[in-house]
Amino acid sequence: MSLLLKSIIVVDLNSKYNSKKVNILINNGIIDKISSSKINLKNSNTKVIDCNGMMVSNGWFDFRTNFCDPGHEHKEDLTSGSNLASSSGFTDILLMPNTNPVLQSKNDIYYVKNKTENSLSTIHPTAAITKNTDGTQLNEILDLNEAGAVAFTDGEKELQNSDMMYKALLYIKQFDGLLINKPKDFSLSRLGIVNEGHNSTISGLKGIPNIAEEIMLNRDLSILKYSGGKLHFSGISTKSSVDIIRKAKEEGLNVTCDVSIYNLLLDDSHITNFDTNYKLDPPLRTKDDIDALIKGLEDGIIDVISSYHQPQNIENKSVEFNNAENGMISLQTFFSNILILSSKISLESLITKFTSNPRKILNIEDRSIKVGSNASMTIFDSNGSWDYTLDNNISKSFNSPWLNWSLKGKVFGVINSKKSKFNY
Amino acid sequence: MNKLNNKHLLGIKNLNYDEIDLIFNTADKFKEVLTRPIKKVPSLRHITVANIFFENSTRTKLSFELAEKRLSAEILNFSSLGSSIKKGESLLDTIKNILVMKVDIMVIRHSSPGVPQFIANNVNASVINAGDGTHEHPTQALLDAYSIKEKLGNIKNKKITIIGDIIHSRVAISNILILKKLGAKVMVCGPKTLIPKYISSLDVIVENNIKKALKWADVANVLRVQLERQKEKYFPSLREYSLYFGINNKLLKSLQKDLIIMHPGPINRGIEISSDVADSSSSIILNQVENGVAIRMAILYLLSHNIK
Repeated sequence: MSLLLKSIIVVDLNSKYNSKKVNILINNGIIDKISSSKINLKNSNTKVIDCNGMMVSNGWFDFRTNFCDPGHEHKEDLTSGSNLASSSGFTDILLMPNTNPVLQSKNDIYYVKNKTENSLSTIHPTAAITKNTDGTQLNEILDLNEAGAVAFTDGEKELQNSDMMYKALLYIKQFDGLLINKPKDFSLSRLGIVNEGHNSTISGLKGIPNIAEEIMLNRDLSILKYSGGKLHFSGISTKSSVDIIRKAKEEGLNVTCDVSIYNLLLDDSHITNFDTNYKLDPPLRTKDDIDALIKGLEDGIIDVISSYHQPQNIENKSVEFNNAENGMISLQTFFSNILILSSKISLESLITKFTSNPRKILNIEDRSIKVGSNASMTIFDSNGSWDYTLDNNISKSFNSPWLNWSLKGKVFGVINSKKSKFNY
Repeated sequence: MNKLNNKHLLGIKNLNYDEIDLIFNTADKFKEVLTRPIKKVPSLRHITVANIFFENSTRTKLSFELAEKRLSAEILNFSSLGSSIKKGESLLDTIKNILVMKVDIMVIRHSSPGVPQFIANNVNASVINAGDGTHEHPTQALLDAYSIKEKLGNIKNKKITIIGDIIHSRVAISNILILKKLGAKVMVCGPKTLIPKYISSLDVIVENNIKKALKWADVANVLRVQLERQKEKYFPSLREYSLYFGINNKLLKSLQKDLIIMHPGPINRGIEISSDVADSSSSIILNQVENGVAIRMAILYLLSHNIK
């Protein structure tokens, strides 16, 4: 494969070509040449793509995705999910283990890897830290690591048992692995379904107090201090959480965190119409929380923005709010959502939150745009606009509040080593 | 103004002052009808109303049914404690099955907040919320406010305290919303664990001492302790609750003032309110029930104007 991207602007803070308009030649999946002047082609089979007006960054990496396969293939499966990922600009996906059965044996890891071997996007499976994600017994973590699980987490289930958390951190430390936990104290949140506040009060929906998240952060950090190891918090959502992590980082703890894209854009006033697309976990919080989360991103306290892609079939959403399942699909709209945020934080700094930072946290090869690098690129147009409709929705599910919105920002193509795909 | 702005009555939060006034004025007229020898008018002769109750109810259901009969509507009654769900049918399927029988108005009660709104978004009929979980109970709030107005002449600047299990109460939320819209001063009183943390965002005073609350108030609306809605323990025992938050004659006498006592029913006698208080001359509990029919007639009548 030989590809020439003509007149494209690089958006990559780790590349010396950042902000420059260049021509990029890729041969056999390796970046061969980058030049602001014309590149003479030796190979007549080189595919030339005119990218005038477009930008290219390091391939996008989503840190929290559910593809529901095996077990819930009616919502999404590895094939539909991989296709969705690459069409949405993602060269890499961190897959949550909350399938049925959960991803917890080397066979499960091989299943994911084999099934996505030919996909353009690389699907990195995580494995459940505890058996069936029930928080009581460790899985065979060394074996799972060997099989290719890139991190360990109970995913949508929070690790409640403090002793289990301690042992998990210690055990994973043996190979410098990463533990991911979603911070939520069960006893304080078990009946809650939305953010506790004015809007939960007038809508009569049971609230989840901020402290359910914050208590868990504090607990986990205390354990981390005691055990050592590497811990990542997934889906922090409150103002105080940002402060807690700020302090922990200042103390030098080996901790990172991510925030879901929806928690940066939407507040809990959306729940008052009982639209189940807004039933999410972590829940939508307040405008104050959003401001603090954005500040946390700017300051580098929050390392990653993740999609929190969680497909649900209509039978699980078109029901009473109390009975609806959590989550929204969010890969396809991710970039458009990022562009909304770019009015507050520069696009190039936002992009590090879903390119270089996730790779750094997972110890995965950095693929910034330089000669000799394995090509991992996303090509996009931040001015283009599109209407998101049922007809062009790629996921098998359609639980998105953005459906029927006119959105800005289009993904033009992705290149992942020798594979590439262009949406035109 | 002679009609409501919306096709549905989903909550007090969707009503404005003029609409509340219109409902009260219409209820006045129907109250007069209810004193006639023949307590029936033909207003809803062409209308079919379905009373769909997914949660237990005695007085609300009877009150709606009677209101519908007094207006000569065709009535369809459906009660199910989630039974169709148990059989695997979704709520929406159940509702759509009822709707194809050509129903114009649906009166819905459900234990999950937002169900009337969810149904209204998905069907063509007018939907009346007859209580949805811990969200709203607009017809109860309308009849409560109407009963206060009837007793005191008007509501503006009157002091009303709502006492008891606020956190599980749709009546409390709807009452707060309507009373604030009508210019009253509102206080909630109860054990701290039964008061939502963010209730003061609704511009109400919070008090935990019952005597202080009663001293302050012109009207005390005493709520039922929703034992059935408490999936976890909110206070140590009913004994302690009745000792510290129950209203009895001795407590009332010690106030040395007139106070109107209300209760949306059904009463846990001896827990939140003693029998001597419930049956005393201060109590307008039975007036509330009587006014309930007139208020519901008014709502049904006004919503029927919006049916094409």
